[in-house]
Amino acid sequence: MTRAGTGYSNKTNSFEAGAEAASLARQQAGITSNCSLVFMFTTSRHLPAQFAAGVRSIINEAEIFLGGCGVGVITNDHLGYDGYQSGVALIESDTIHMDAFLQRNINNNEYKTGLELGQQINETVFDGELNLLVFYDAVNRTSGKLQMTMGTSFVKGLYGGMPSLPVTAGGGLTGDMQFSKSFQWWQQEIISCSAFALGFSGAARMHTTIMHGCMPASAYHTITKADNSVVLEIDNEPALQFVQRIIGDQSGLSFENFGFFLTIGINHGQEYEAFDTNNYSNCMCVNIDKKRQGLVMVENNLQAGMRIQLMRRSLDFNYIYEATDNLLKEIDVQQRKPVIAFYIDCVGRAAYYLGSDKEEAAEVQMALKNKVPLLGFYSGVELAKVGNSLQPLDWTGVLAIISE
Amino acid sequence: MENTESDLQKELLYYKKLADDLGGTNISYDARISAVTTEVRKFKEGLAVLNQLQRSIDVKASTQEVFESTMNAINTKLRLDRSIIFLEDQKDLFVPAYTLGFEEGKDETLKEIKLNLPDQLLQRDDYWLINKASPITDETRKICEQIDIPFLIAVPIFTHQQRVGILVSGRMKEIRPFFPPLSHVDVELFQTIGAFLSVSATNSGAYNVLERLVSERTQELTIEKKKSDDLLLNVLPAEVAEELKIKGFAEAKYFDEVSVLFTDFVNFTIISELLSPQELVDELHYCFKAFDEIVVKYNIEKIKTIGDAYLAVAGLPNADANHAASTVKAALEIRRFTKLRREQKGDKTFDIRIGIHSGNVVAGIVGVIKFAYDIWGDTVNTAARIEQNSLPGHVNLSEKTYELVKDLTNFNFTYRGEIQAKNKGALKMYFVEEATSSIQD
Repeated sequence: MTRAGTGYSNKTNSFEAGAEAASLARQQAGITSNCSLVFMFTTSRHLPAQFAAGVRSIINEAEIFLGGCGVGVITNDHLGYDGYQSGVALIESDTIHMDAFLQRNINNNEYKTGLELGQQINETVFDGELNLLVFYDAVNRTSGKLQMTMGTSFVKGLYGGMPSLPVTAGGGLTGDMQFSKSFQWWQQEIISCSAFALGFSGAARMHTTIMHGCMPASAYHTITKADNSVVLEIDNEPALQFVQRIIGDQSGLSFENFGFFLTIGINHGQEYEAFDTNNYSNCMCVNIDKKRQGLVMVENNLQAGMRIQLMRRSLDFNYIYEATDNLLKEIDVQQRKPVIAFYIDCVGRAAYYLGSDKEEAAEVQMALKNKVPLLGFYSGVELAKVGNSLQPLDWTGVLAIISE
Repeated sequence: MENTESDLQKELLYYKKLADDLGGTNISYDARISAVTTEVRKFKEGLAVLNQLQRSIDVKASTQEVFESTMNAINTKLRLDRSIIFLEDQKDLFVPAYTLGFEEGKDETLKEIKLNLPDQLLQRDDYWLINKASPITDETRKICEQIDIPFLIAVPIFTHQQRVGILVSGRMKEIRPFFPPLSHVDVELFQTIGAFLSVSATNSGAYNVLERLVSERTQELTIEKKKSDDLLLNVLPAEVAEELKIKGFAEAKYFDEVSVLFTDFVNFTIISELLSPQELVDELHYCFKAFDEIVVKYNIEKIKTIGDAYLAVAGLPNADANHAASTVKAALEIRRFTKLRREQKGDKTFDIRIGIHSGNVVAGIVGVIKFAYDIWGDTVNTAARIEQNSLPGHVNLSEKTYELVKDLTNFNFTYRGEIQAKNKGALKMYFVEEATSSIQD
């Protein structure tokens, strides 16, 4: 039998927040004080030790106790960001097997971390099909200055250690939009700059869908020069100059104003075929390299030779409800029962940052209402398979539902 | 005419450029719309904060609750990183009283800070704004480093025209487009927040004074009420007093089973000639005071004194199955008191005659001026006759009362036969003594 529940809190006192969220999750799950998995997210405003203590005041024993930072949290009835939001998911099951894996020191070490994590998972024998949730600390402040952890390198390493990567979803963790140093919980420890994976096997299956609502809004162009995460040239023109020309020299907008809205899309399907949202992965720009007139991207996955398009973000969120509902129907057709849903949602999609008056995550809440417990968080980067290949994605909502 | 390859190429380039221009326009418009939406949202959240503050200017909310909830709203709704409320410790010297948004352990370090805040915050409308574009003086840098908020707004908090505190809120970074530099637009909002905090602090202080005054007055009223209640209870049984207070009148009630006690000082006239008026009254008071204490002890209701006679009744206002026994015990104790008094005072005190009869009575209040609680009925008349036919130093019982107590082992009875009582005919009467009396007759 499997029981699962999620709980939310907005209390500023970290201990009380942990206790409240855990208590609500326990109530929803209908479990007592012990469970198989405790999975937690808070914003970086919280004190992690106190929060964990609050959760433990409700859940005495958990085989797996882990979690990390999010810019905000989403549950069935609540969502919020930039404040003191926190969320807890609990699962107790004797049919779904859960395993957790940790690899430390991802800072400036993304490939090796992914490789060793992949190897750890690959060397483990699972009961039945494996389904993975993978998370990593997206913030590297070990040098004092901000460096984003490169998900592309991490994913490459993951494939290196586990060439047949199963159904996988996840994200890069950040606790606020200023990318302060973030933290992860691993059993009794509080750590930073780590990557962890949660494996579901036994009776479990994971069903995923990616939602970005972006449409191509330009012709195809070619990256002609790139250096790690910096796109230096597009169509042999300095990248920044290219973008400013396209936006219009008379717009009066500086990069500071428009940079957040610059999304570059890669079509993993056939060029010039009818648009298929599932074929696209999006990359966001976070800064400019003024000296080299380049665009600093979140990830280092844009390389010379790649064909790209500028993408437009849709403010019509119907597609989110439909995609979520379709996923539930897919589970139903397979005669399976949804146990718990995880929504890894790019913080850029939150209404405040998007410039919308509605929250797109509310569509997920609506579609899942009274059907399955939901725990989501606002992330810096999302991980999901596009086609058959795990990709770091931007401006994407990844919904993963565990069924049995 | 068919398009040539060159025409197709031109057309392709045309649509490619068109698509790019549209894409660029989209980005541009998205940025502008977002900027406008963010500004609107900032005002909306600012209004939400002010609305929350206005609602919390409930006189019952403590200053601490208002300050802490305001800082929470500022940090979360207005997306600022840190807030501090300083309170004036000594003249122009401020200490952090409330903080939010600091790392663990930092709170304790902050509490040790004592700041001389700048002159810019002297007046009610003053403010202090530090952003990246602000000129940095040594004083500015020192304060920002001490409180560890590099970009901030500070506004004063006043109560009764006096500056009592400072609200400081700010960010660790300025990052466009969502965490832009704090500006004069933000200052206006914070000045309003500061004004609300001032009103709240003033109200809270005024409420505290009001509460204290109300508490003092309530205490005084309670004491006076108790005095008047005690006075009333001195005159009336508690239940009757309550009925009088609630209804304005008390209904007469019939009591089926009571015992009526009459006492009379036998040699009152003789003693009154031996004592001065004051001595007489004092002696009467001394004796009746003792009788009062005795009847209370046995849960007997004193009705009145009539000259040197004393009337009490057991079994009302609440029924008492032991009314007869209680009355007999009280009577014997009254006699014992009187005997002791005679041993002390000799001829200068009273001898006593006591009579008890049991039956039914009607009890209530009559009259509206100087009213009193009284009892009526044949039982009362008979009790008086029993007393009149008693002997000095004896407790005389009617047959009815005797029948009610005859089986109790703590009494000894002496049948006196049938004695003629005025208007009553011959009545059986009994003397009663304590079974193990230590009193020598």
